[in-house]
Amino acid sequence: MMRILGVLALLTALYAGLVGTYLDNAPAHEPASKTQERIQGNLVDVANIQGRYGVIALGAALVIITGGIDLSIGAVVGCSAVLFGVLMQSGIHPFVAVPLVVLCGAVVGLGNGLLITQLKLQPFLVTLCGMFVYRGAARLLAGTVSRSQTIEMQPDFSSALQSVRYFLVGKNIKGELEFPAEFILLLVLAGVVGFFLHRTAYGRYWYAIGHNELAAKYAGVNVSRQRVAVYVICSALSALAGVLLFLDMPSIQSDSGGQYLELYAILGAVLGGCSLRGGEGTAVGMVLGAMVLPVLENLVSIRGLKSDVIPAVIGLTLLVGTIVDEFIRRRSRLNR
Amino acid sequence: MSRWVRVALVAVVAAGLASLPACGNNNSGKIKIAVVTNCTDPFWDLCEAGAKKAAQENDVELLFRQPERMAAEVQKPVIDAWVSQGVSGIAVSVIDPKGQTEDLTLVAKKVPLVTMDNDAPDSGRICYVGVDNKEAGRAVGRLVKKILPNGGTIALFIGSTTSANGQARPAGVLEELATPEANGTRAKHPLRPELEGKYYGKYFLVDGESKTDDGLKERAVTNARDMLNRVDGVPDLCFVGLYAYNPPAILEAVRARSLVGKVKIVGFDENPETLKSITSGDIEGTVVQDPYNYGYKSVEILAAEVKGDRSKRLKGSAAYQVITKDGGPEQDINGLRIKFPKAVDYERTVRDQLKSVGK
Amino acid sequence: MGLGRAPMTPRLRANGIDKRFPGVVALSGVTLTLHPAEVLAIVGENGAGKSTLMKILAGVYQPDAGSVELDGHPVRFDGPREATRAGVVLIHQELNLAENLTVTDNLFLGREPTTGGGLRVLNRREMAARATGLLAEVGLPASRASVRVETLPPGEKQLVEIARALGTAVRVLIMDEPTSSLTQKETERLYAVIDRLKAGGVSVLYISHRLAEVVQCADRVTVLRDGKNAGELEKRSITHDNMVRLMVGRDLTQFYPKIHRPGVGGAAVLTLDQIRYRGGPDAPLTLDVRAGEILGMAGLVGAGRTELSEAVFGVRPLVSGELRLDGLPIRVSRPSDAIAAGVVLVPEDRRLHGLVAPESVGFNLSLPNLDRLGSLFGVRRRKESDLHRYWIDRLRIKTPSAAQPVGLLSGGNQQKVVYGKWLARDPRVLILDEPTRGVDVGAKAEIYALIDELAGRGLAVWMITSDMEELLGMSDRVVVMHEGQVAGELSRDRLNEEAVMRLATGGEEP
Repeated sequence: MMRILGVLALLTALYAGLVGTYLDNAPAHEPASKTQERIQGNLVDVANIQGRYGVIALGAALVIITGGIDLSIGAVVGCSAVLFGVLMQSGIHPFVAVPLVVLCGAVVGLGNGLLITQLKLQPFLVTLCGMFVYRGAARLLAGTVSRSQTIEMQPDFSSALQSVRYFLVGKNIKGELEFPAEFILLLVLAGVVGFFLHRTAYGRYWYAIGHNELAAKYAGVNVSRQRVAVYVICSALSALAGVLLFLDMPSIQSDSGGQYLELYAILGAVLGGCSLRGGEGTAVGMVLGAMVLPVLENLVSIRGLKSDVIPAVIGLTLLVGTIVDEFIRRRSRLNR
Repeated sequence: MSRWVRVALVAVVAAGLASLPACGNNNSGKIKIAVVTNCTDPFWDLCEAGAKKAAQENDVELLFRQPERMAAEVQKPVIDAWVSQGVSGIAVSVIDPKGQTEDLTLVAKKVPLVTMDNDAPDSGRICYVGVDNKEAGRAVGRLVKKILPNGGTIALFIGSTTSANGQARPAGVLEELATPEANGTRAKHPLRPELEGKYYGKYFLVDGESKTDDGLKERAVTNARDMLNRVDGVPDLCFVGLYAYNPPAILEAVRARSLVGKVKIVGFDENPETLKSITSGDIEGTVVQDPYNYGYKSVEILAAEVKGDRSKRLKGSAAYQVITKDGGPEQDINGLRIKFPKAVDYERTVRDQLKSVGK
Repeated sequence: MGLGRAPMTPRLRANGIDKRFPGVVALSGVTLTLHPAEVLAIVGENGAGKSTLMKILAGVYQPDAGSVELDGHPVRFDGPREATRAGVVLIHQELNLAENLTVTDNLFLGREPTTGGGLRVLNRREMAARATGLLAEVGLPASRASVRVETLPPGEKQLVEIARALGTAVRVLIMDEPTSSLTQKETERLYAVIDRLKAGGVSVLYISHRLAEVVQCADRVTVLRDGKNAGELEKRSITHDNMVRLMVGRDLTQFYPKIHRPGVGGAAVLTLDQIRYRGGPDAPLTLDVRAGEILGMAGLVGAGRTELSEAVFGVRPLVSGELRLDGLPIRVSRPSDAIAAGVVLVPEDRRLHGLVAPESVGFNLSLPNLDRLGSLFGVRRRKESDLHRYWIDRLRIKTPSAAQPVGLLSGGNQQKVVYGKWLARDPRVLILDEPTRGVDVGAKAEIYALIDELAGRGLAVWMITSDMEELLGMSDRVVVMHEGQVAGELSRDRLNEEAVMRLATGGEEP
């Protein structure tokens, strides 16, 4: 509980700030129900983005718990988004294309994992190179892909694509956001990840490997296999996020789709309690951690801050949040 | 493995890796013309299409680069390498005129230089192929005036306000809207006192500045979404997107809130989503630059220069076009002949251009 | 033990084991026989090959030549997992616990009871139930089951490792220095556990430097020297002297030298006056350490000896009271203050606190002395290598060169590096926490000789130790701690084991 207290406090403060700003800015004559409706609408918008960030944060956190890191997340997201579009345009049905793309993500993760465990290369290096490679692969696949372009080329897929969109992203045929499907998806995935992390032997192994690989090895754990498994999960989740991105954005550009997402994923994981040294982290924490940045960006935007000031404000807020969090954690350790 | 075998293996692998980047280097013996854009974007794909056409027609070899990042330090080594390779002409889309003029002057002394899309007028370049971004901005402003003849609330969205066109376009829009009495007057919104902004003529610009997204497409959507939240309920709204990806991003946010038609959108450049939406009526109009012609003209001019023919040089800036659903007759504005094609027709033109080079 | 010498199949037998590492021959033609339900101790100086032999038996290494038989059948373990499954379990000297997990998690790591087939859902209830049993066998309370291992003191971590091994169907339990961080009481507890295992038919094989324990506990002893067999001793012949003679190949008289120092302390060099420190007991504490004497500090694990030394060294903040050096008060708020005043601490866990393991011997020797070795322009190479050479020679540190990574040295030599780096600063007060833990006999003797010499030169030595032999052999005066307080002081003439234990367990001064 202690571990997530810090991020919980940060989130509460941000949400309070958000609601407060809305209440402050509400015109005097506006009925309370309308204000509430607006606040709800905004929170639902934000929730969808939190969902997407959360999906990749889950993968990043698992990798970090085992003491590794994955810098190729953003590139895999972008490449998967492009791949999804290209597959459908080539005639593959959307219902088939989604699992296919996730499978490709898993293969990418397998590659990362094998390079790291068999050739004993540093994860930082392997995934950094992967970032360039998959970014390049995306550009080779296509320049830009979009939903409308896909429907144009494959009009039969239109309804299937729309139902996938509704189911995964929550937008109806007119593009209206009806419910935060991505957030619900996150909760489901977080539940599964949490189950494996906290309730199964595999989770124990991941924690052990992250903290003391030698102890795990001597205990008979197949360290390589577990490491590879975790990278596979991470890249598969990134691919899923790529599909979500394709369905949510008007178009995806291969050179920039998913840019910087690995940093947001790692940020979410770390804010949620993962230590970059490995061996720490909880499923609840990961979700909370991923929720921070979208809310923060939203708050800053709603308050009408000048564009130039925004990056600095975001950075400082995160720094303060991190300091408070570390402080809380240290006190809890002393009182054990 | 013995030591020598290991060394030999490393040497072989190193040699292989070193030759990888050199792959694809086939010397055709023709004159080389090189074009570098300021970033990677579908906009420049159209430019490439035009450049390829001109290269075919003039029988020259074309080197076309779209850099990954919009940064001058990424362009410089590319251009320098070309100069040392012995290309006969270079066209560049300038990112930062003040900063790059010095380097480009040195290049222009060695190789004929043409600037596209963005100018560095003091660099000794042969000529500039591009619209005057400020003039184009004014055309956008005129569109806004047509949509909201009695004034209203506007918001501007753009990638960055530090690049040259990032400054010129918003300036053009606001200049067109302003009146001598209201040219950036600070005020609070009459219906929403918590919103601060500036008045340009009858138009209230929320926050008095353009909202930037640094080229991050997701942020373009969230910027629009957040602005929609803040101006919820305000009538006579017009959102203006000034980089190619901004109009579709704004539309996505507007659609998510079921506000299509209630919030008017005006754009810049010819993103295919934008054009489709103009035809369907969700976006009011856009001002385009004709990037196909940039590429075509640049290569044509440079190919001619090599032969000593200076007649192809352009004087003054190129003409922009204004795309709307219904189109309109051609007009002469500020010395330029401006076309007003229908969105449907323009879409077709763009598609044909791309097809001509297999994109 | 059975009557007579009826031939029975040995539980474990190693024949003609050879093992070579790059540049060094670790074992050459070594044989070992272990009978069912017996306790066999392996002794030898460091570098004799004991650890390597144990690791081969437990499947961590594979021998270059020779064979291993388990119950008469030849076996070849490709890894520790296989060995564990066959019932041969090794507990390493350097504990291999995942410190970020709980005790229960560690007890079952790699062998968790699970349900749900491939999902391997942890069966928490079974784990908790079995954990209580296992912990009880090593004398730990059930409350320990759910704490994170990193919060346990080294003594208890060792017990958890042993409990972990007990969780398997063990037939041969191999322990490398099992009592090195255990207190007297915990060691007794361990003997009880070993007896119970013996009664259950388990054979125990262990390496120890604590010869007194070996005398008490072992049924037989195998001695190794320089990678070869040096002799065996049956129960009757197991004595301190016999073992040392076989280990070293010569007689070691004067194990605890008292040549240089006067034995009676001179003026007080370091005085602790009414000290209270953060995390310590409420009552203030007073003691002093005198020039030319070795002050032994005894006490049970948890008595607060290490904590007190940390407070004096500046690792723990002082809450009240005064520290004086040569009568003059000093302020110590961080270790650099203590070092500047001439007070140095050689810590208990040298791997964690004393050395930078992946770095070289030279790096470690230089580290606290960089201010003496150079200037703004950098370290003077010549001066540095002189320093290295001096201390490597002086302390007879066995290392191929100063560039050798210190992690590859034996325990005793690592300890010497820690000494070296501090002695180079010419300290006034030397605080030693478990100075010869995990150190072999030969190196121990050298360290004792060194401490004697240093005290002879006027240093005040404060020696914290749980090794009763060491305490009785080396101390000029003994202070016994109990629950953070000074329970009593014993001068040389009143010093005996009983008196120490009585005070340490809270009894009255005799």
